[in-house]
Amino acid sequence: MSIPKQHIKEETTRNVARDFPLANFATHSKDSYDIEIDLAGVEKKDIELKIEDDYLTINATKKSQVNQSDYYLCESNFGLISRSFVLPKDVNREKISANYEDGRLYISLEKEELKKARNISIK
Amino acid sequence: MLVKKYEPFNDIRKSFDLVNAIINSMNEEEPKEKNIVNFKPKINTRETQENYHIEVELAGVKKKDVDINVEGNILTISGERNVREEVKEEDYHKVESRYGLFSRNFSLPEKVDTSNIEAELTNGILEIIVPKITMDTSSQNIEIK
Repeated sequence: MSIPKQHIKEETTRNVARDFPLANFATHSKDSYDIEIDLAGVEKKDIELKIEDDYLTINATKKSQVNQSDYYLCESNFGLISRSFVLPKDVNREKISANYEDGRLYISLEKEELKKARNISIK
Repeated sequence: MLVKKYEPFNDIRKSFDLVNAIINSMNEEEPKEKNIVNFKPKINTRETQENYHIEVELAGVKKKDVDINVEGNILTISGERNVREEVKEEDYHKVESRYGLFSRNFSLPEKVDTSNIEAELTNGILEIIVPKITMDTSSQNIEIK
């Protein structure tokens, strides 16, 4: 059984991420986290964000209307973009929200109510 | 007689210190240029029949923070990427993106219409369209008087 080489190449490159997006992580207080992911040139509809077990995974496709060989100089990477983050155990999975603006995806995470730091008044 | 620890390499070490001091003083004297840049954004360039296109990757940069300037035949894209107002700089514990000033220059070809350059910022991509000057190619006969 032989598979044409061309076919193998296509198969393997189709589902392999070409780009690893840059991300910034911030902690506002002890109860909330922020993740920013740079996705310049990706349209909102091409972004998929999912939670699986303890992982928050972002998959996106950067499409180009232009044939890549038409560029004189092409520094961008097109194609699949993927990155996963391990979620802290205490994050409320229902309260994860994301916002896409200016080519950057902002994800905000919040701790579960029970796990949040709180002050106890002394009687 | 003063009792001293025998250190045969002291003189050599001293000369090293002197060299280091000179190097350090040179570093300090270096004037801090205003147009020093922190990063270079990624770009793509292409050409169509009517225009030249330049695409610049600027995720998270606002329109007002980008400056496009043409001087002679040099097109300069410069600006600044700032931290979001909602987030304090010290809140970040891991930063992979580059922040601060950026700049890139392009030398434009001769036959371009610099007064009609268009730019658009969508989804973090700044697209600059530089129109070519179309020459009238219809031939003309010149009468001999």
